[in-house]
Amino acid sequence: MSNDVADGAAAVDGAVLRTVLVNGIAASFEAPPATVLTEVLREELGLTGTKVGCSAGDCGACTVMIDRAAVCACMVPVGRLAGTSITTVEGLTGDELGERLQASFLRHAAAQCGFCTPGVLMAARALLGTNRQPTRQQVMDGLGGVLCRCTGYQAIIAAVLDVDAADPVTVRPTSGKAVGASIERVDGRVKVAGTDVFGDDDAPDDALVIHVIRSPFARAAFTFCDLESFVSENDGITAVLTARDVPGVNRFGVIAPLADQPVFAEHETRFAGEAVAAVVVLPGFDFSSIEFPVVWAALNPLTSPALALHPAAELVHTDRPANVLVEGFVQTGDVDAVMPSCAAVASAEFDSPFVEHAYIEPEAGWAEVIDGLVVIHVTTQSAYMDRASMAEILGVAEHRVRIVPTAVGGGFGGKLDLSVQPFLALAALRTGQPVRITYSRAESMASTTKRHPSKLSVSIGADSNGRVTAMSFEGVFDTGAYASWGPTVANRVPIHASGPYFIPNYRAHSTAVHTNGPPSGAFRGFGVPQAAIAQETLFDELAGRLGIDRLEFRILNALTAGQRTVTGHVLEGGVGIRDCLEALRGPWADALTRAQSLNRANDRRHRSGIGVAGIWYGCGNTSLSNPSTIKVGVRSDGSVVLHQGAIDIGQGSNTVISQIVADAIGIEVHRVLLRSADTSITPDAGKTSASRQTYVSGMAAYLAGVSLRAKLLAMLDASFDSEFVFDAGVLRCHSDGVARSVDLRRLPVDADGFVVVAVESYDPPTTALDHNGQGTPYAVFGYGAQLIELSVDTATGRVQLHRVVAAYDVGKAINPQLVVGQIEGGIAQGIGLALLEEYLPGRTNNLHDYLIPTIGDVPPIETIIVETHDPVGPYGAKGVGEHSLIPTAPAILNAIHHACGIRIRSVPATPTKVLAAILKRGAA
Amino acid sequence: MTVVTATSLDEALDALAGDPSAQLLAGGTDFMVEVSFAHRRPASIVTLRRVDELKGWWRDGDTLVLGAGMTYTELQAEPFLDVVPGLAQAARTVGSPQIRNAGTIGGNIATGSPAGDTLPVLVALDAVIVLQSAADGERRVPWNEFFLGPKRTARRGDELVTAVRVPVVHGRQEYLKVGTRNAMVISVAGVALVMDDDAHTVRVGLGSVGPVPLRAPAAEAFADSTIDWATMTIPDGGAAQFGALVSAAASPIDDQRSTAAYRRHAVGVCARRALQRCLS
Ligand SMILES: Cc1cc2nc3c(=O)[nH]c(=O)nc-3n(C[C@H](O)[C@H](O)[C@H](O)COP(=O)(O)OP(=O)(O)OC[C@H]3O[C@@H](n4cnc5c(N)ncnc54)[C@H](O)[C@@H]3O)c2cc1C
Ligand code: FES
Ligand code: FES
Repeated sequence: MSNDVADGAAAVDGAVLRTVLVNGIAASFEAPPATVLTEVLREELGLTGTKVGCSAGDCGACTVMIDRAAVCACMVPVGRLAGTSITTVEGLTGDELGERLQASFLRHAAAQCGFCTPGVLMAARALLGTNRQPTRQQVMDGLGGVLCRCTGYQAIIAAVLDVDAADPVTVRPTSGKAVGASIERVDGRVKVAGTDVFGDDDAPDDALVIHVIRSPFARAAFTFCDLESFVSENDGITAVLTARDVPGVNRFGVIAPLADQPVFAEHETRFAGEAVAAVVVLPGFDFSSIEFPVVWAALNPLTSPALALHPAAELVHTDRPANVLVEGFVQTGDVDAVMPSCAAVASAEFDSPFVEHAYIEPEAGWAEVIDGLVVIHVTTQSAYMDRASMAEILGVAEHRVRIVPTAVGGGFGGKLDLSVQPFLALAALRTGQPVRITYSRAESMASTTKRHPSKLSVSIGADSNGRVTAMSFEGVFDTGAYASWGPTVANRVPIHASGPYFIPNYRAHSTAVHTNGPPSGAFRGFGVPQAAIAQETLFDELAGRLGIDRLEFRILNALTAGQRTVTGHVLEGGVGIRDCLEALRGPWADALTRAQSLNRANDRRHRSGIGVAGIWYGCGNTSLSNPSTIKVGVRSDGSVVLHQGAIDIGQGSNTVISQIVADAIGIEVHRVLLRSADTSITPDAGKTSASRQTYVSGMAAYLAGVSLRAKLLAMLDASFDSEFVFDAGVLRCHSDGVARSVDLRRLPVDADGFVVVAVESYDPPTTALDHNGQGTPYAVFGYGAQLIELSVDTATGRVQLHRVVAAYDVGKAINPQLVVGQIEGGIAQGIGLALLEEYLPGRTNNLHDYLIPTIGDVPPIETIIVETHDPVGPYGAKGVGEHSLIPTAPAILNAIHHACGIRIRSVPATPTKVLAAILKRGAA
Repeated sequence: MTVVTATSLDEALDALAGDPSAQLLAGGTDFMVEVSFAHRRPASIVTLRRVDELKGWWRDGDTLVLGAGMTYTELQAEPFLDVVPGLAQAARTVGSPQIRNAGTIGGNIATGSPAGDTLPVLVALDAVIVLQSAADGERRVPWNEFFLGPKRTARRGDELVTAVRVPVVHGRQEYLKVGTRNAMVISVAGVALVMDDDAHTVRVGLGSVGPVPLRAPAAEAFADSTIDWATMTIPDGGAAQFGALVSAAASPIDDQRSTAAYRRHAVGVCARRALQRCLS
């Protein structure tokens, strides 16, 4: 028997010294043989480019090469590494092909949040090692084991295929020309290098580690046994935290008056995965075999709104009668009078399940206390809201808390609510030491928010000319155990459920109902994707009944400038839905011909079909103030620094805000130095949600840029349209034939190091809605439409997508490549909603039972950017972040119907459901 | 935790003889998930990656002997594409390149999950599992005595799966599976079909539709007698009837991946298509 310690032979429970070859260098570390390679790379060798998304082989974020073959480092015990050579993303530097790949990823914007990027790059590098010129299909096969939740994979495929680009172009716009240019992401290089710092990437080595104790039951009472002796009897355990240890209010919530979620449950837990305690342990301490002293008594949970609305149901929150959190209502005209006289009415019921964000980066962060200031480094979408909530929880003033957002490995709404922040702050304060926490995939899935399950009952009527005249909408949303963003969903849905169409008689009512499910919160679209499924599929039914082409039916009913929306808001301009739908006319005719000829050629088992759906979506908070503030200044050396607090979760706000500010000032965009969000540095730019950053923070950036320009030119005593340059520390311009200059080095410097500074805020002009939901809920809407081509295997119920054409009115594409990236990524999530995703509490807390689209599930996407100038947004721009996801599911369902005549009204349309519907239709 | 890195078969067998409760670690694609999630906290582990005797393959007359340590990446390539194409196809459908680079056929057999992709092929080929222990030497167990229930096999704690023996059959083979997505997909129903052009027989193995991988004897008998072996055709409706008989042989369950009714239907569709492909 080999007893060679160096190669990890017989070793008893011991960390032995090992030496392995990593990126060509012999690296030594001590670890027991069953330790996984990810742990060693990240914690022992400091190679944090290799990411961990699941620890189970499902996500591929941890992909490295061992002897040139791609493997999941999370499944490799270090005991087997002797004699092998490991390459990580850090090892691509200096590797000719690796660097070409990285450059190609940058050119194609193939990294959005960048969390999957190291794994994707390594899988691609391994593929190219054996197949230097792969086909598209071979790229898809080679990368099938890495999940990306942001990009929709198209840019990744393009980047791999284009690795050998002969003379790649770098987009470097001159001054004043940044807006509209597809410049490289300003934070792209660190993402492809694997050096961007995410939530789990930079905790100090000596940080204590937090483990959270969570309820295994949807509803349970619990009692702790002797916690003090639990701590004193276990050497590695430093502290235990429970509700008693919360110095301020043991409640948080994104909508302050409704804050209802405890950091630690007090007597009863309200959902499976709710925290009751946290244990702080020494670094390296193995907590997995420790039994925590708690006794559970399972109670009867309310598992659906139907049960929760029953008059005899117990209350999830005693102060919320009938388990109703809030209701939303919009009414105009007289539906009851008009509906009966409609030439055609389509009515149906729809439902949808919990959907998980499944960002590849689980929640993570670290914290320390410096001179009484609690500093929390965390993956988050909303630094300032986090700070306000943390101040409440800690019972301190806001300035005693600093939130430093790390790079965010995807958010999609799921990182708007607090997750790890309270545990970090409480543990850091209690122990006085740096502390860290990283959620496991299961913990992330069990404890964070979800998309609201919905049950909708909808009727739409049209006259004989095909004009939609009436619509009624009744929606019940399962808001789970806590309020989170439930009110936002309940309010947004009735406003949007009409779709981007003119409907004179309209009534929409929604109810958010508490259950013992996970808290439902914000997820790309705030309930609108669910509503769009109902409205857009019923539109197809109406068009069918009236014998009108489905696309033309939508064009006929599309909102135009000057018309009233269902809230009585007259849109003055920038209404691009008709332009989007008309842009699809050509692709629609082609797709129809293609489907028909495929159906003639194919065996009758495979049926092709096409579908279309349109959407609108208001940017910013509904009828509420949601200002952004942007600061930009000039330092004495003439450098321009942008303090930009709009958190970039991959969508590109760092880049887009830089472009806007550069053009507003009148300098080249690559001269803008960026300070990203940090509550001690950047002013509040609100949260990254509601597709608001390009519009709202973009407006603030525009105003700040213009203001800075005005100040600089005033100093030069030059007119506003003069050109100026920074010549090292001297500002110069030629105006009216006179050379003018100001020596910046002589000016006083402020606390930020600025000699000239501009700070501007912008808040969208909206009005409150009255009791009928009438008013101006948003200042800006974005529009879009998608066309899907697919086929259904009628024998197995499998749906194959063949192509998507997406037409989006973004007003002005500040960065067209980033716009395309948002659209492709949103479509991929829409595909998941339509065909794959259903979160079952307690049963699908991993990425092999909860299936999100792989690279093989997203078809080629063609994007048509429509620019219908918006009178309000910066340079005419509107948001697109959420718009991209919404039409995909209804367009797919419509195409399934076109293909094989079945109506699926309950997503996801899994093979099981599709086949059952086909068999039922055949039997009927 | 004791970890023994065996570098020969004897070392591995000795370690197992010393501690039959020791857990074996091959590619780790099943095992490490359980360790990471602390479902399993084995007191001792014997790792097999460096046991050369488990690697590679050889011919023993008309029998192909595949070492337990062969990875899916090896199995999906030549010469297996020619010699046991059904197995190569099944290997290609497993997980992702990362999983196929690590996962082994021995691990698939020893895990004995009803969804294991190589198992339908192995049962259709009437595979014999080769086990070995320090105490009793080699023991050969036919597949139908080896797979006892979901993740339950006839392997004793002191035994290693060293290889699997499959006949080299002259004729076409197919492996078809249905899952919910297009990559990284666990089978919801799977069918392996093996045509023996010399013996004029058809054999089918079914995955994910019962507690163990199954055969469909009535369907096989029907196909044997209905196929016109001279022209390699089947009368109209024959393939459909074959599919129906395969569905009847299934005994699936409902779970979160699908329903029993769906699995029963889909396994029949896969069988019909596999037969049609083999006859085309
Ligand atoms: C993301 C992911 C996707 C997957 N997809 C698929 C799929 O599509 N299809 C599929 O079939 N499987 C799939 N699997 C499961 C897994 O890859 C296979 O079951 C694999 O064959 C296990 O082999 P291994 O070498 O990795 O086994 P290990 O994990 O090393 O071991 C598994 C078990 O087998 C035992 N064992 C291993 N070798 C021997 C031996 N020689 N003798 C006795 N006992 C032994 C071990 O003790 C252990 O209990 C997937 C797994 C993951 C993580
Ligand atoms: S972390 Fe290894 S596959 Fe997800
Ligand atoms: S860029 Fe792929 S997960 Fe974010």
